[in-house]
Amino acid sequence: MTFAFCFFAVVSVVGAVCAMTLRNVVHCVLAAILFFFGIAGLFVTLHAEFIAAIQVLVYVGAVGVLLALAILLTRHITGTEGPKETMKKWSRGILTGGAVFFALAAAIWIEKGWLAKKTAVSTGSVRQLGEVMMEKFVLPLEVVAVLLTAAMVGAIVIAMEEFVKKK
Amino acid sequence: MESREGDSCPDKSRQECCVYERIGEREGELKMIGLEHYLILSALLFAIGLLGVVTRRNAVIVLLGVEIMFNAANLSLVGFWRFRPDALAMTGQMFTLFSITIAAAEAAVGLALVIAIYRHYKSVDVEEMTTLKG
Repeated sequence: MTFAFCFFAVVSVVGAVCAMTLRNVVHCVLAAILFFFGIAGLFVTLHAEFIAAIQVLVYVGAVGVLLALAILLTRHITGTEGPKETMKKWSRGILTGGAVFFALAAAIWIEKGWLAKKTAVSTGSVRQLGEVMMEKFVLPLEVVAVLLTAAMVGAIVIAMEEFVKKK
Repeated sequence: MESREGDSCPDKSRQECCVYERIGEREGELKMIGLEHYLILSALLFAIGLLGVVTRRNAVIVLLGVEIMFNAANLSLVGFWRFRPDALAMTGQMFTLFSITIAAAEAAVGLALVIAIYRHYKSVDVEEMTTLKG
């Protein structure tokens, strides 16, 4: 358990850092896929197996391919061309990220005693998840279905706009 | 009336829908990874994602940073679900599922926007996108 957590934590942190700092855009997307796998592993250590499977399907499968396609469609095939960041921007980014991390970490540190008491763990099967989804969360489920349809139609309309104008 | 699983769960602690394991009672035997470890990791990943969003100039990588922040938030949601058995049954996992759905929709629309902007400006540099009117 401890080893699995440490392993997947290192995988996801390395993946995230590489995805945000590498020069080549294609390498960034590959590092992000590593990060998504790490998060899926962390979900497994939390006994949320279904979420882990969905994580692999949606992020590694769909979002990863979508990002790779977006890079290809914007002609960054080699991935090395494109805008470069200055050192000033990097230092500002590290400052912002560090400030947010220390704010969050301070909040967790202050509530450390309260958090340490939470030792009981809950488990739930996919069957229970399905039952909750069909009973309690049935309205949000329908709303999300409408949202997904709207997003798909919107994405097609936005991406096709210029093409329609030319015709 | 047949009691429905899920609805009446938080009132009665011993029901089929919430199986509790008590590891606190065996304190000292094993050093477990607790909720705070997951929260710290989640905060770190969120900060890394934010760093990328404010620093990188490629619009695709900015969207990637937003996805990393989404994942960090999902991790803390599942962590809270795991370590709070008195909470509503499966709520944390349901929140995460909806969050993943919305992140997927956001990625699709965001990347369509990036492609539309690229067609217009012939660039994906977010610092060049300074006009509201094309």
